[in-house]
Order: sequence, then structure tokens, then C-alpha cells
Amino acid sequence: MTYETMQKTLIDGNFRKVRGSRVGKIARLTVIYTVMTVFAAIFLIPYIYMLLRALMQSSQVQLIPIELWPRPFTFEAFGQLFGSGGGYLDALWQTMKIVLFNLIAIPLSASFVAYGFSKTKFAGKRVLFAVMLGTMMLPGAVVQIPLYVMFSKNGFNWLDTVLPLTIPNLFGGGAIYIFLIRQYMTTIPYELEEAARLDGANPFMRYFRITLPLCVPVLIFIMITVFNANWSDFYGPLVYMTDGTETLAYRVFKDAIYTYVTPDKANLKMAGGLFMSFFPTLLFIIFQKQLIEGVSTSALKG
Amino acid sequence: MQNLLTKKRKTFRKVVKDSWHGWIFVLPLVIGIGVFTLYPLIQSLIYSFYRYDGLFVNDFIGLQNFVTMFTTDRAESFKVFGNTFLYALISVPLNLCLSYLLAVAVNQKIKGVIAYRVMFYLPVVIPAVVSGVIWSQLFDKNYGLFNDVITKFGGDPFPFFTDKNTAMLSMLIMSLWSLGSGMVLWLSALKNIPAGLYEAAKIDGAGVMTRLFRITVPMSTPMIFYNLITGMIGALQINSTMVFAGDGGRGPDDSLYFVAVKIYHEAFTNSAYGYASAIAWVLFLVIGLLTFVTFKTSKWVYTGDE
Amino acid sequence: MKRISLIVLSLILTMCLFTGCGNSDPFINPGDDFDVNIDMNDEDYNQTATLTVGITADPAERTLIEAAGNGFKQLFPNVKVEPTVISGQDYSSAVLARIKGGSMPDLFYSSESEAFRFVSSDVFLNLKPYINAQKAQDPAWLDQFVPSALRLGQKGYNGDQYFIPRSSDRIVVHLNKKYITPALNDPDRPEKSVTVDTVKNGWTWDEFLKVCKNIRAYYDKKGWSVSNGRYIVDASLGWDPVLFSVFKSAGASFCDNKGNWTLDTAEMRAGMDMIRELVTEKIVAPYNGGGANYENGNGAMLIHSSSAISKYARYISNNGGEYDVVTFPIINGDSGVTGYGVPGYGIFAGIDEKKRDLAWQFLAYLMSEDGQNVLAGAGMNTPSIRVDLQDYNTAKWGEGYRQYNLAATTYEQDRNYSETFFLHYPATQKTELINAVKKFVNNVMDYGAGMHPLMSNDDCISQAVKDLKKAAVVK
Repeated sequence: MTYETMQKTLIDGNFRKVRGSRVGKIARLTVIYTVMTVFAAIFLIPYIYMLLRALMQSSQVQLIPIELWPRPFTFEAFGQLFGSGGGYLDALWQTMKIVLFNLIAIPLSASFVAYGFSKTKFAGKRVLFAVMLGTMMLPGAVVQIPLYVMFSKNGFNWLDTVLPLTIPNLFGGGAIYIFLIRQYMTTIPYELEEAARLDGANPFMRYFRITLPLCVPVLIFIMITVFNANWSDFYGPLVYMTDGTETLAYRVFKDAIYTYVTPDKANLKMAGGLFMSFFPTLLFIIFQKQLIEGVSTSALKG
Repeated sequence: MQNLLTKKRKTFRKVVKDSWHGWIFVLPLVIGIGVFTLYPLIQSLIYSFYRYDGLFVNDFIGLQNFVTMFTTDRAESFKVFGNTFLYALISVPLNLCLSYLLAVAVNQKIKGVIAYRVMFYLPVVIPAVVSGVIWSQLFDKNYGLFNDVITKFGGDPFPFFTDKNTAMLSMLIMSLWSLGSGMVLWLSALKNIPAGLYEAAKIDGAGVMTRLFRITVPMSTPMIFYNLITGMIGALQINSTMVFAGDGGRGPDDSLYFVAVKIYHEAFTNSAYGYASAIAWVLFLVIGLLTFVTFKTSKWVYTGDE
Repeated sequence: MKRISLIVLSLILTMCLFTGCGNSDPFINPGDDFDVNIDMNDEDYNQTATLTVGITADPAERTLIEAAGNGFKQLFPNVKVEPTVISGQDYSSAVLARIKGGSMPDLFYSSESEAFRFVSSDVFLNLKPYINAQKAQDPAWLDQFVPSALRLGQKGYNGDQYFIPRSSDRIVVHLNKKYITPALNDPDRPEKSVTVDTVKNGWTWDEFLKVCKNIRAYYDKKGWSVSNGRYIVDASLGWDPVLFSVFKSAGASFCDNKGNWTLDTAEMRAGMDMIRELVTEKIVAPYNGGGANYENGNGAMLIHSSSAISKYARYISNNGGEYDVVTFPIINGDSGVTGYGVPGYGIFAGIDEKKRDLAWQFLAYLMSEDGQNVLAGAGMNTPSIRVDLQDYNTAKWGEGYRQYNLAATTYEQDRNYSETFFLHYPATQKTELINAVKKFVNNVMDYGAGMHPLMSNDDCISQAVKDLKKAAVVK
């Protein structure tokens, strides 16, 4: 199989159309599967490396040359992290508080605002919408220091709590989410609401009873994104939290760079990382279709 | 006169009457933008004219912070902006091109292709802090998988993140792990291209490359445009180096020191809030300018009107 | 519409301009003028209160404070002392972050090196009023303490005391005699002038080098080569107290008293060559080249602080080694110095006024004979700051460790040295300045394949001057 024909099959995106003998077809398929499997393996190696080393004993991870297969398989590292004194349970609880709050707050407040943009008319709508889109471009670093001062003892006194990472989300929850829901809402035909309006339902009832339930598909995508974003965020907690109140991601970060620096702790690092990636991976595998579609729609409609 | 005033008041009343529902819906957003975006934005501009440490030091120093950035601290600030631009300029196009190949590979109608898509996209959902941990381990000089393989084949251990000459390269290699994000964008772009275009081109005898550059790329320009903008804004704000670069996220000899990390350090390690705000504003202006230029020169983007 | 947005924008602008940068101070520092009461009556002794004490992440420090808290209960039965860990990449930044976050403990740990930043950020309570009150009561009060230790609690400022050292600490060489004794008894050793008896307090750098060469030969004979990661000494040269000791002893300095950088001298090069020799003789691992792994029983020596004696005595004997300790080798005869520091505690300036006197009582307790003995019982086995507790043979801090050469911690105390050149620069830059110096040492120790230095002395120096200049920029 020449490079040219391979390119051709690839670009055409439809393998069966290429003429050729049955044997040639099988050969081509074999090549394609082999190449893709090799690439998939390369993509998975880091993940597998983490998995294997998370299941090793401390004495095994510090061997040179390194060993790949755990002997014996052990959950020792997880026991240390989540056992008493490991602190990962507290960190997990801290993360869960943020994640659970935002999982409800962001879809609700974002859809509320999005309803305003898509289903009501008001003076200043276009300007506000433009301002909102503009905030997407704003680097977080610009507002971060005043926000820190605002949340510190001088201001709200919110540091070392989950409030800086939750309360601001009550106010729209982020431009990108509002935008996505608004795009979705504009595709919902007005006739559905018209009937309710004639029955005397005010806009707030119409939002809650009619439009919101219809938005479930986009809300699922948003909830998964919100989960991943808040679950993985190490930077926000790094800025707003100190010891004892840290979230899981911050804890993994902290352990990676200054608690578990010695080579004998590599299994702990990997175990922490493995646990961190477990839920995002699981969610992705379950919702992979919605997620991939959601990502590409948000990209192309933006 | 009297008439005019009442008329004006009437219209104002009418505006309120027509709009109040909508206003209530967007009220949270207005408060949110005001309190958590606009106010801090202006506040940080004001900080940038002060020497302020969050405690007792609070002096107005005019443009001194900006002067410092371009004079006494020039070596470092130029380095971080240089690193950041270099990374953005290489990683965004590199990911765009390589993820195209990946997308083409998984765009075939063969059995099990979904499983491959999942595997290629998986690294994207892994938290940044975790992938930082994994890659710093993979690249480790003594305990890393890569050096283990290299030395088994008789090579010298490659320094990866521990040498200033290889650190950036290593980070680019690491960034390839999340090619999946570009892949899905290409996939949806490819899906939107009518198959008839290719058929027609084939009948006209167009070769593979011709079809790629005459059909696929032009039809995908909206996606490329989106990718350029978000990729650039994202790359200019990268702070994940804090996890794997070592030296507090600076890398050897500041080779992986990025703007966002410098802002963090100036603010939260050195308590130089004013100076950190000044750098943040420069970054903001740079991003604004780049976005503006990209939009202004976006004639090449296919909008579907042709 | 445009007009409305303009009005809104200008409103916000004026609002911000009025508030300006004028955020209120997070706490009030009373300076050195506040009322103190050091005469405790029954009511004071019976008060119910909780004193929070910020400590580093080191578990040993927690044990000390918990023990001191229990001891303090003898005086104040209803006062609870609660240790709170303050950790971060940089302890002083973590403390400042806590102050801004409003979760700052009443007292907090500091060493002489961190105190520098705390004093200049005005977060330490000035202890002068208390010390004056104590002196008024007993003119000889201050004489109970070793002056050189106490002085480090002042750290070059106006002579006021800001924190109270709990003990003193100096650089020593931790030994694993399991390797040293056979290496020095080997009749075929390359350096025959040194014997087991050479390894004693007051030994010289030259002797130290020869001992190391003998151990190297012994290791090689055993097949423990550099290629399987076996080095002789973990020298901690990247740690400021050690590296400053080496350069100061060599007669080199990093800047003069005007703040000019003075690295380009013959003395500095001599110091660099000393470090390079350790690397080229395969005694110390090059930068990024692993280490001797003393902690796990593979190395013969570790240069580190004396406060780690209890830790390493335990580690080494658990690994089947034979622990001992000796002084840091003397470089250049009389000009040789040994790194010295004091860990201790100060009071947060924003402490609740009602608890201020109580916090001082706790510090006074830490300095008292009882307090010092309680700390010693909890594992503090470094010289006390009290004049009457200097002899490790009688003082409690020697207990349990007298079989080791504890004299190393007190031998020739006039060699004790603590680097101060950063006083010429604002304290906020201290972390970065020290990092620049560390990087300099790393560059000196950076060797490529075939023991080839990656940077010449000249390159190291010019790079370091560049880095130091950069680090000194006030922002």
C-alpha cells in the first residue's frame, strides 16, 4: 500500500469506496488498525504507567532500573492517602462541597440569565450581551489580585473557605455557559411558550416550567463540564486556601511539588493522580457522545 | 416643551414596562460582572500604579511598576513574555496540524473507530495537575519511563525538564498528549463539509493535496479561526507549568517561566500586588490586541456566504 | 444606550478612585509602645484561654509545641496551647497569606532567616516592652541567655527583640561509621596520613577531603561505584547555611556593605574550586545526579543541622549503620566558620490584646529552665539558649544522645556564623536572592557526561551576578 493510496483512503473518509481485491482490503484494514492501535497505545501509556505505579509498594517505585509490573499489587498507597493522617478524605470533602454547589448553581443561574437573553426583550440587551462575551477574553490574572484582596480579611473574609469558589457562580456562572444555553434556547420554538403565556403564566413560570426542562441536553453537557472544571481546578484553591482547607486538586498539586518529593513517595503521587482522574474518565466514557458533540458545537457556534 | 418632556417620560416608562422582566433575568449577570469582573478589573489597574503588599505598604508610585518591567526587571519579564509567545506560536499551529491527521484517521467508517476516538480524547479529560504529575514522572531522569527506554538502547539519559535547552521541547511533546481536543474540532468540521464537494473534485481529477488545500482547509476555516483565538488566549495564560517545571514553576534557568506564573509569584510569593497587577494589565492588553488583529484580518474565514 | 453605559462606567471608576488603593490595614501593629503586665496573679493563672501557635510542617516541631503546651498547663491549668501547621512552598509567604486570610495564630515559628521578612513586613510584635518589664523586675534577667543566640532574634534591626529562640542550632557532619571505620582502617587506603582518629571535632577541610578519598576507595573496592549511584557525602551545598559557611570560610562574600556584588574574586573562585573538587573526586553527586542517600544508610556522611541528630541517629541505626556526629570541617584555619541559626517563636502583632500578656508568658516559659527541659524531653537535643544549660553532660537536652559526640554542637562556638549580607536589600527580595545564590552553587556543581563541568567559574560568576541583580529588584 503506497503512501498515496493510504492518504486517499484516509481523506476520503470512506474505506469501502476504494477499489481493490479482497486481500488488498484486508491488508489495508490490518495496516490501519495497526497504526491506530500503536497510536492509541502511545496515548494510553502515560495513563497505564500511572495506574501501575499507583499500585506498587513504596519500595518498588524507587528501584533503578525501574520496574513496570507491580509485585505484589497493593492498594497500600491509597490506604496511606485516604487513611487517617493522609488528609485526602478531608480534601475530597472540600472538593465535593464546591463541586456539588456549582453543579446546581451554575446550570440554574446560567439558564436563568440565558432565558433573559433568548426569550425576553429589554433595553440594553445587545450591549450587555457584548460585554458578557467580552469577559470571556479577559485573562483571569487581571482580576485575580483585587478579588483576592476582596475576599481577604480586609473585605469579605472568605479566604480558607469554599465561598470564593462558589458564591460568585450564583451570578450567571460564567459567560461561556450562558452563551451555550442561550444558543440552545433560541432553537426552542416560541409556540411552546405562547400557549403558556395565553394561560397567564408569567415569564418566570415559563422559564422554570417550560424552557428549563427542554434544555436538559445542553444542561447535561454543562454539568459535566462544570464537574470537570471544578474537580480539576488547582489554581483557585491554591490562591484562596491554605492548609487544612485545601481541595483534592490542590492537595495533589501540593504533594507533587513539595510534600512527596522523594522518590519513595512516587506511588503516593500516582495514586493521588489516579484517583483525581477516575471520575472525569468515568464521566467521559459514559457521556462521551454528548461531550464530544458539545465541545464541537460550542466551538463551531462560537 | 411641556409636550416633549411628557413624551420623553412616557417612552421611559414604556421602556421600563417592556423591559423589567428581562432586566430581572439578567440582573444576576449584571451584579456578577460588576462585582466580580468590572470592579476588580479597574481596581487592578489602580493597583498597578501602587506599591502595595496587602499589608502595610501602600504607596502611589505612578508608572514605576511599568518602568521596572522594562528596565531593572527586563531580563525576567522579557524572558517570560518570550517563553509564553514562543510556546503559543509553536503549540497552537502544531496541535492544529497534528490533530488534523488524527481526526482523519478516526473519521473512517470502520468498526471500533469510536473506541479509538475515546482513547485519543481521554488525555484531554485528565486534570491538568494530574497530567503534570504523570509527565514529570515519565520524564524523570532516574525513574522515568523514557530514560529507562533510552538507556536500555544504550543512549545517554535525556534531561527533559531539567535542562534549559530541552525543557521547552519537552513541554511541547507533553502538549501533544492532548491532541484529542483538536481532533474533535476537526471531526465536526469534516462532518460539515458536503461529501459532494469531494466527489466533484475527484471527477475533476484533483489530487489528495489539492483536495486538502482547496476543500478541507477552506471549509474548515471557521474552526481554525476559533482554534487560533482560543488556543492563543489559552496558551498565553498557561499556569500548569507550576506542577511539573520545578523551581516553583520556573523551570531550569527560567526556561519554562510563563507570564501567568510570574504574576502568581509576584503577587503571592513576593507580595508585590502592584507589580503583579501591572504585568497582568500588560498581558491583558497583549491578548486584546492579538484578538483584535486576528478579527480584523479574518477575511480568510469561510462564512458560508460565497 | 451608549450614554447609560458611559455613566455606569464612570460611576464605577469614581467609586474605585475614591477607594483607591486604600484598603484598610488587616490588623494594627502597636509598635513598641503598649502596656504590658508580666506579674501574673491567681486570676491570671486560672484564666481559660486557647493560644494558637503556628508551626512548620515538620512533625518534630509539633511534638515540641505539644509538650511545651502540656508543661505550660502546670502554670496555667486552663490554657490550651494549640499547634497549627503553616506550610507552603515558602514558609514566610505562607505566613503572610494567613495574615491576609485572617487565620493567623497568636504565636508563630520563625528562624533567624525568616524573621528578616516578618520584621520588615511589621507582622511581629516588638517584644521590647516585655523585655524592659522583665529587666525592671530583675536586672540580670537577660544574662540567663546565651547572647549570641538571643541576638539572632533581633536580626540586625534596631536592637529590639522580635522573636525568642527556643534553642540554637549549627551545621554538623552526621556520620555513618559503618563505612568510615573500615575505610580508614584499610592498610591499602590511598591517603595514609588520616586514621580513624582524624575524624574528631575541629578537623580541617583538608583532613575531611582525605577521609572522603579513603572512603571513595573503599566504596570502589566494594563495587559501589558512582554508576550505581553510590556517593560518599550528602553535602547539602544547595542549602544556604552550608553554602554560606563554605564561601565565608574561603574569605569570599556575595556583596559588600554598600550592596555591590563582589563575586568576582580569587576567594570566591577558591570556594568554587573546593566545591568542584568534591564533585570531581566523586565524593558528592553533581547537581541533578542523585546523592549519597545517607538517610537510607547508603552514604557515609551528611552535612546538615544539629537539630537532626535524633532523627538520623534513629534512621541510621534502623538501617544497620553506626551513627555519630562531628563538627563541620574547619576551612582556612582561624577564618573558618560554621553555619549557625536559631529556631524560635514570636508573637503575631495582630494578636488579640487580651491574649498578648499570656502569649508572652508562653514565650517566657519556653525560655525558662522548665520549658527548656520539657522541650529537651520532647526531642530537642540541640544546645539550649540558657547559659546554665550549656553542658550536654548535665543538661537534659543531652539525655539519650550522650553516647554520641554531642560536643560537636558546642565546640568552638566563636566560629558560629549566620549570613547577613541580605540586610542591604529589602526583605521581600530575600527568597529570590537566596534562590539566586543556590542556583549559583547548582551551576558550579553541574557536570555533564564524563565529569565535564557544564559552566566555567567565570560563567557561573557572571550568571550569578546577573541573577542576583535581577533578584534584588524591588517591585
